[in-house]
Amino acid sequence: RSSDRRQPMDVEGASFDTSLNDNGVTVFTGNVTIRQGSLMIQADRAEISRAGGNPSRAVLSGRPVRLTEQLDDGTPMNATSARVDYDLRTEIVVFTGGVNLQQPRGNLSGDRVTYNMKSGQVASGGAAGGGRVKMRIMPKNAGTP
Amino acid sequence: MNWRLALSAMLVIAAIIIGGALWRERAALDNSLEQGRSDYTLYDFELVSLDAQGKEAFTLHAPKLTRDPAVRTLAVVTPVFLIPARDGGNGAPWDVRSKTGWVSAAGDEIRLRGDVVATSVDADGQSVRMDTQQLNVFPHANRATSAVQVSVKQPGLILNGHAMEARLDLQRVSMKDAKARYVPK
Repeated sequence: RSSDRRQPMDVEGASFDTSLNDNGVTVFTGNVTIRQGSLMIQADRAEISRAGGNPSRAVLSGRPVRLTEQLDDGTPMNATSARVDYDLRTEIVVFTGGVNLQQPRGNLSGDRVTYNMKSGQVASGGAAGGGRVKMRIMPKNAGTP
Repeated sequence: MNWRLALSAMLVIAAIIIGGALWRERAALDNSLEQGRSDYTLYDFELVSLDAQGKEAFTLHAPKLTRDPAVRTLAVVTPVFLIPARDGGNGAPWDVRSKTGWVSAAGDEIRLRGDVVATSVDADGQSVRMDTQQLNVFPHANRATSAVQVSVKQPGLILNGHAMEARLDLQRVSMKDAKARYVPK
């Protein structure tokens, strides 16, 4: 959700190393969890950069990284991949490495997927500079005869 | 005659016992005095400690300091340490205060105990504050460590953890069991 960015972001991990400078990077390692409003991420490692004192970017790696967030239209989005690069200002997320995206409207898997959390727009495969993509779109009235 | 002899013997024995007791007590008193005694005590002072190159390692203000002659260490009451920024570092001086302080003979280690507060500003002028109950500062190496819970606060960021290792000159901090809260400005 866009409103997530106005919430405090809580990060926990086995350890961290940080530069206290305003635009310093903090590296969390070991069972890292990030919570910010409806956003929830679990990873092995997270690098969080700050700009102007606010978190500006989160680069995560894991086996896999698990990300869940509710979009502005209220629908949930679940994703797993080896690596996630989340630009917290533009809300554009680049998933790379065994990407699997699941939403009520359908699933998407591939090697590299770029996802705009604001608009819900997805770029994957060639458009996102990655390989083959597999997408399954669920029919609207999947349940009724 | 016998009872006089017995009485005298008892008096002599009593005198010996009392004398021995007094002697032991005096020795203990000397001993405890010896341990507790400092060779000098300073009140309301400022002390500038230099490192091997003659550069200021830290400045210390406090209401009271006593020096232990045996091991040449200093015990300080409510100390305020000013640790200057180092060349090549990217921060500012650190102001470190606590309930009690201990300084090693060579002045290369400071142990701060009780409501320890360390403050500075980072390269961008933002305030930095560290709160803990124990802090060991190694001014010549610009290092600080703590084995207990530490909280580091900056505008927009709160870091908590323990087993801290900090480079005061580079303003880098690492901790275990890390919890961070980023609060949007």
